[in-house]
Amino acid sequence: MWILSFVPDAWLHYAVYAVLISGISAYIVSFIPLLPYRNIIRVVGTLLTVAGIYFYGSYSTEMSWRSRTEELQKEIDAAKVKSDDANKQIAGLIAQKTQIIHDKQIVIQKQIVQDAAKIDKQCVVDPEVITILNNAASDK
Amino acid sequence: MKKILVILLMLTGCSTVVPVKQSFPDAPEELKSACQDLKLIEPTTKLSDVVSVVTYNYSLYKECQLKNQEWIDWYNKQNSIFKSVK
Repeated sequence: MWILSFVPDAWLHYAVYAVLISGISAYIVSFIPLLPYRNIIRVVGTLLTVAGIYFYGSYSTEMSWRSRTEELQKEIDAAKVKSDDANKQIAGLIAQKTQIIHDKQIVIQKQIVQDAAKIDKQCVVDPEVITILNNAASDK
Repeated sequence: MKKILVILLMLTGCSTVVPVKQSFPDAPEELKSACQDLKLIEPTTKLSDVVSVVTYNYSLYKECQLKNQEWIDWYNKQNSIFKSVK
């Protein structure tokens, strides 16, 4: 059946109808009086008609799958576009918010430099404080 | 052996190939980098130096927090888009 997915729609359509019509035709022709091999033609006609009906069913199923596949592919393409837009939006938001954090940090660092004399005036940091803070900040 | 081949052929007849594949999207590059390590303080007695490093580390945390929040948002958005295809 999977081979059918490589065959163009029109070819399948023609093949199914060709089998069905030739089967029905052969069956009808077999009723012509004095025709040689009437019985064989009737049997072949019946077999072709049954096969044609079977193929018609398969053809309808195949077409419904193809239509579902096409529909699904369209949904996936639309989702891909939405997903790309969401990615761009998030990337833009990260860049914007990171810039705000950096800008704020620059302002704070400038403020610290500006007020350094005032900050350092009344306090001398014990080396133990540095050790404690570094221990807390590192993975060790 | 012949029976197995016949059964296999019959089963092949029942299979339906749907040549459509949906894959989960890739995250933006901005989200893929790891958070930076916190800066350590150089030996000093000045409180301003300590405050400078501590506030810098706050900004590193803020960046990391932002990245984490965006990961969550990114996943929720992409998951909802992914699941909308039925």
